[in-house]
Parts: sequence; C-alpha cells; structure tokens
Amino acid sequence: MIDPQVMAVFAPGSGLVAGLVDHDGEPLSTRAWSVVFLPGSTDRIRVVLADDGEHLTPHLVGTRMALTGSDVETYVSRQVKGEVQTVDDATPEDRREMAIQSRTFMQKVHDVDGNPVEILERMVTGRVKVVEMVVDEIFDQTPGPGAGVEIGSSR
Amino acid sequence: MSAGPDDRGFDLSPLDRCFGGGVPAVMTTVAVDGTPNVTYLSRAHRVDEERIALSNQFMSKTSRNLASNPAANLLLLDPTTMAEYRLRLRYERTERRGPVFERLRDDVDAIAAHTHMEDVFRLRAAAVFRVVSVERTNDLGLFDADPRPADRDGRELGAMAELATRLGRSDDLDVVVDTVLDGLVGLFGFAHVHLLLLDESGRTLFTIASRGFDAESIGSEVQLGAGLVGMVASRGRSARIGDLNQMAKYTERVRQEFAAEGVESERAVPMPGLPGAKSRIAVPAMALGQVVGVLVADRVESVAFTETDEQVLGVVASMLASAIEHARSVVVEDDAPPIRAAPVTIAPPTDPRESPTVVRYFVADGSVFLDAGYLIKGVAGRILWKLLREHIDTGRVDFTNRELRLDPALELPEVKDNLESRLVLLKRRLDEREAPIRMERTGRGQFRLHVSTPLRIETRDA
Repeated sequence: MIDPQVMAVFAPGSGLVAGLVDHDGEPLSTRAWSVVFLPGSTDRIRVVLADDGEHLTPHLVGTRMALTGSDVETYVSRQVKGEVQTVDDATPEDRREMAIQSRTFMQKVHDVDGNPVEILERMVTGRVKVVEMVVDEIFDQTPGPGAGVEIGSSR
Repeated sequence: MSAGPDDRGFDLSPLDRCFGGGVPAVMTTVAVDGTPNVTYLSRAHRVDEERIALSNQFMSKTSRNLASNPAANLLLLDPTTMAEYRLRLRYERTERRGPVFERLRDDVDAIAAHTHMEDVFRLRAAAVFRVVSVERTNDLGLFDADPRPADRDGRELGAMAELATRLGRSDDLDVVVDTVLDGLVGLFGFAHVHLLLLDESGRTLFTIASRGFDAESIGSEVQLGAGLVGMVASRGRSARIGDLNQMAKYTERVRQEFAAEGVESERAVPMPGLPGAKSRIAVPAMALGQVVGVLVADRVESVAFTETDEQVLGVVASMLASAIEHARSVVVEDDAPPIRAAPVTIAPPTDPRESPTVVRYFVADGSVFLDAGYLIKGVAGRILWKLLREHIDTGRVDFTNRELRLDPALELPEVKDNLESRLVLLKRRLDEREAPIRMERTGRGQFRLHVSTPLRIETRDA
C-alpha cells in the first residue's frame, strides 16, 4: 500500500522523527536515523531509532507508532502510522544503513542550510534500537492547509 | 539525565537557544485509541520557569489529541551545540488574548510581515503547557559548553556607560548617529547594523546609516507596517527572528500549499540586509511614547541574538531616540533668533573644460539623478535641488537650516519637519555615492556645499 511517492519522502536525506508510546503510556518523541522498506512486503518497514534515554523496550510490541519523513529543502512531509511488530538491537546491516542515511541527511542539511557537518554529527546518538512496523495509515504532513489529511489507510 | 521541578521550578534557561526558532521542535501526542501523532513545530516559546507555549497554526490532529489526552512530548535542539532535550508536557490551556498570546502573535506576525504573508499567517490561539520533566537525550561532553562569554552582563554595563558618555558629548544629529552605530559595532560587537528613522509624514522609514554592509543602503525606504522593520515601528515592539533561512523555507512551502488550493499570496520581497544572514533583530527607538526609528542588526549564525542582545539594543535605541529628539529640539530653538542674512561665500570656479555632471530633477517626486545614477528623492531631493540652483545662480556655498525651513517650496510640515534628519541623509547619500557634490557642517544650523565639477542642471516635470 505504500506507493513510490510516499517512499520517496522517506528516502536517504530526509529528516525523520518518530512518535511512540512510552512504557507508562506517555507520548514519546525520538529521531529516526534510517528507514528500510522490507523487500517482499508492501507495508512493512524497518526503522533505526535513537534511544539514548533507553525508552525503547519490548513493551512497544503491539503499540502504535508514527513516523514522519520530511524533505529538508521543501518541507514536503508524509506521516505513516502502524503497529510495532518487533523491537531489537541493531544489526551490522542496520548500522551500515544508519551510517549511509544519516550521512546523506547531514550533507543535505549542510547544502541547504549551511550547518557544518561536523556539528550536525553531534545529533547522532550512540544508542539505538530497531523496530519493525506494519504501516496501515498514511497522512500528508506538509505544513499548510492540508496538514494531517489522510491519504491512505487499510485500518 | 532527567529532572522534575524542584521547589523553585525548572531552570529552563540552558534551553534558551532551543526557543529561538533555529531548528524545528518535534511534538508527539497520543489519541484516545493509543495512536501517536508526531509533527514538527517551527518554534516553541518559554513562558516561565515551568511553562512553554506553542502557536496553534496547522496542528488540527495535535489539538484533537490534546483535548482527550493532555500529555505531550517535545524534542528541542540547541542549534549551536546540537544538545537535545526531551520535555514531558501537560497541556494546560489555550489563550486567545493576554501577554502570552501577544508574544506569540508578535512572533507569527514577524514571520508573516517578513515574508509578506499576513493573509496566511495569523495566530488564532496559543497552547500553554506545563513542563513535567526535562531529559537530555545526548551527552556532548566538552561540546556542551556555552560558547557565549560568561561575563557578558558586566562587560555590557561598562559598554553602555561608555556609549552614554560618548552620546552626551555628541552635539548634532550627524554625530549622534555615528556615535551610536560605531558604539554598537565597537563596544557591543554588533557587526552588521542599520538605523532607519521615521520621516516627517510618519508613514515611511528611511535608512540614515549602516555599518557592515557592502551594498549601498542609505536612503532605502520601508513603509510603516510593512515587513519586519515596518511592523516593529508600527507596534513599537521589538522582534527577533532566529533563522531567516528556516523561516523562508517554511513559509514558501505553506505559500505553495495554499496556492495549490487556489489561495494566492503576494510574493516575498526580501528586505535589504546581510547576505546569508540567519538571525535578525529589530528594535524600535522611542522617545516620549513616539517611535523615532528602528535599529536592525543581522548575523550570519542561527539564533545568534539573545534576550540580553534585545535588552542591550532596547536601551541603546532609547538613548538614541532621546538624543535625536534633543538634537532636533536644540536646532529648532537655535533657529528661533531674528532673521539675519546668511553669510555668502562665493564658490571657487570649477574648470569649465571639465565635462559637467548632469543633475536631473524630477518635480513629481523630488527625485534627483547625478548623470545616470539615482541619488535621492522626496524632501532631501528638493533640498538638494534648491541648494544647487542657488549655487549655480549666485555662487553661494554657505547655507542655513533656517532658510530651508522657511522655504515653502520644500513643503516641510510646520510641526516636526525632520529637516535635520533629511540633511544628514542627504550628506550621507552624497558621501556614499562619492558624488562631486558634498556637504559639510560649519556650525549649529549651518552647512557648506562643496562642488568639485561643473554642473548642468535639468528639470523634468514627470
């Protein structure tokens, strides 16, 4: 159900932020450092999330998550929502993907906004977790009158 | 690291730069069915030690979630150090009037004014949240240090005293303007500053001086209420923009989204300023409850201006406004003695073999062109035209403010004619253009014209 136009907004270089539900039911914001659309699936994604505060525990399995991807230059944004399927430590492949995507993101921020890459690198946290989520809702999150409009759902 | 409020509340001051609008904040709320919603916010505002406020612009889903579940979670990033903070929040109330609402409205209006999107950006409500806890999400070690000097306040008090002393010794408007701008650069480290004064009509601001800009700017005009500077003058309240680049991207996106729905806005007209500047602050200069002008400072760095900078500029602007008003009143009083003939000095002859400078005067708006280049318009243009005609007809070079003030052709208002400001503007514009015509102050209310080439003058009706 995730069409290529939506996938493009989550491509390497995008700004990625996630909304989750903490172990005590509180909302939780964190940054995402990579998104991979899993092969053979049309709605399952694997996301590397920052977790320096150690909030991302197995309690997340079965809860819902929101992930927003934004173009650094145009602010065109999409939000996908769905149920968390797994919570794991990052594999070497996850770390490689995270390195590629975070480097692309910082280079793009540098190109667009002029921030030095070596300063931006401080944003990247040491501790991460990886979640897999099945997407069942997609929203336009671009700032403006259409922000929040649903553009796809299988719920 | 996570901390809750102690008896004295939070100390949110280390997060000051996070509230500057340099990097969008990230907000998560949760719906009744447990589905989170995560969105970017252009800016969060600190209300007090344990409250923050957010402007409710395009947050319909967030608003719905908060109505049923007041818990929210906010990520804030310091654009200078990249220190990140996670705040647990509780939604308390929505304000549609009062000081918090006014502060946020000024911020939204500043963005709107700067990008000419007043029809789109209008604050409808301000959502106020209590901070439940603050957590640092990244440990930057040595990079955590605040790059700003710690003894800032002490140094600036001394600098303020020095500037006050220098202003006290300034004996006319021209010197006052230079003293303040040189002081802002040399004593306070504001490297790129503009000073605009309100004209005699009270409807237009004109740039009378600047420091740190390559391009010509003397004489450039801003209409009262238009753009960031015009808004600051019309409201008499200062405005700070933390990241002009982020703001431009954000507003351009919103403009395009509205355009896609058939709602068109006027295109943004960039205000002259420092190329590549991310931070801008504009402070009104007021005396006796009246706006006299606006001080504007730019910096390349994001969120470069602090509350202290705003306070410093505010005090300097007040001193400046009082000095300007005083200088004007002194000159007007000096004009009062009985009329006596102005001393007449005949100009030394210029070399007639030299090719003349062509001075074109357009009656309709008082604009003056030297050869092909625009010089000045309005009252200052009419003054220059009068001086040059007198000079060519009689050879005079010495003039007085009083004779200008009494000349009906200049169309000066009877009250607050702003003549001294216009003369300073004219003098500075001639200097900036390195024109073959210059003005020199020779005494209080007196000045001399220096003409270094033959002149040919032409009058155009339109």
